Amino acid sequence: MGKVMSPELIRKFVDGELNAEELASFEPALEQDTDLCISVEFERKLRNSVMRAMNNSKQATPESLSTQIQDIFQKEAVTGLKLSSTRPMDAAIQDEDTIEFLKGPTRANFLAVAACLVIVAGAILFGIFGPNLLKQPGNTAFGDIKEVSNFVEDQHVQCVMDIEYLKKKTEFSPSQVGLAMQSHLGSTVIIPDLSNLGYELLGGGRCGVPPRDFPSGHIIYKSSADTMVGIFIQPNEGVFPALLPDSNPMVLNPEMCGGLIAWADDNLVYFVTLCDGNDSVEVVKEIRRQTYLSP
Amino acid sequence: MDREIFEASSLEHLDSVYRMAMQLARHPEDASDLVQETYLKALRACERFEERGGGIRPWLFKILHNVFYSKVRKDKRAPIGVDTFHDDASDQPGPDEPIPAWDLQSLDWEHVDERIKAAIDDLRPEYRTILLLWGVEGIKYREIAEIQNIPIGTVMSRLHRARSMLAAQLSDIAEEMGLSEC
Repeated sequence: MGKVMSPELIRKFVDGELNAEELASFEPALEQDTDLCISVEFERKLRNSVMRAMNNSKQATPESLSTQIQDIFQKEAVTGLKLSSTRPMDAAIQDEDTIEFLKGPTRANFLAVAACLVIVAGAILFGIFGPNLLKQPGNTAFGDIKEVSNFVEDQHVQCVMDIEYLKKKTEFSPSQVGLAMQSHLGSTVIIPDLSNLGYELLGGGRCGVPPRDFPSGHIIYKSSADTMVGIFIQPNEGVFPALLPDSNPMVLNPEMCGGLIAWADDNLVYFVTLCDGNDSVEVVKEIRRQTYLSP
Repeated sequence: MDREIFEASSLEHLDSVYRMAMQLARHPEDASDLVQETYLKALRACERFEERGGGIRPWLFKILHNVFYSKVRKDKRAPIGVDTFHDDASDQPGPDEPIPAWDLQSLDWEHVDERIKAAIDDLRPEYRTILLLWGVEGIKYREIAEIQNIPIGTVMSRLHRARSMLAAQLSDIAEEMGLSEC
């Protein structure tokens, strides 16, 4: 038997997603390896089964929906016509009166003064209330979370799927990573021991968790079942204050597989990624228990 | 894209769009609302749309996805506790396992379909939608990434995990049927 093909490669082959180099390696192996053939066939059958299952379970499109959408098309067409139509004569006459009113010097000065007062009042109000408004979690805060969760999920996936990438991300060995992180992040960093849950510390390294104005680090663990845990750490510079109010772990982005679990203490913000598994709750609790610094 | 062409071609994909909406919203009325909003947004933007190899369907899926998750964000902006979140996920199967090398001729795949359907229904929305895009709609990884506005690595990871979970379900079925590995 030649090179062992990973499940990922087998699935990419079935999906027609292998690049030329991968295909050149895969196809000869397929001719020689019976087990590989069986695995490929299994994945093809599974894909077909998923297709049948999702096709058969589909709810029929309501008959009225097509009509409703065509109504939407028609209404939008009419609205578009109204906006571009020629204005009636009486509206044109009213416009001339309006223009004459605005041309008058007294009234023009009045409007100019009124506009200035509005601008000044707005500036004063912003000066009073603006800083508080800026702190409220809004689209910007959620945008930050999405950026963080995309980043950490991508990093986690690459470490799971690419051993070379994993080596690059563990530049510090288990014995070095504690001091290295402390030096890099400027705070005491406790490296949790997850061996009682079956996870071995592989090490860690620097990384670029958004926002990239601050240093950040990544600590990685792996279990005997090849599941991984990643802890991303960044100084607590108040970027996510409204979302991490009391340092208890929260799932900031439930849309992300496994959820983006995060908490903060006075010095650091922690983001945790895990492979989906039945031990997720215990792992998070244990990390939290060990990293929480009592006042 | 010309408006008239859009109106004609977009309705050809109504079934696919509704099917995706049902996977996301899980309720016929909500799905219908979602589809209507999607078509309205698409109509208003159709003149800026440039058709590429995949046609208009991936674009409609992208709008649908954005409409749905914009609504979800508005409804559920507040973070949730870890225990609450993990309660929802507690039945998820374990991590990756090698693809089994079974005697497939003995496996009744028609019988498997019902179990696969049940397993899919138990998956989280992000897994279900990616399975739909991949398995039913036949969309490639890169387009799925554009539709869902996630990195392509995330697409591969989620698809990989979803298929691993389903394969784990089949392990149970094979055991029940007394199949052994080759």
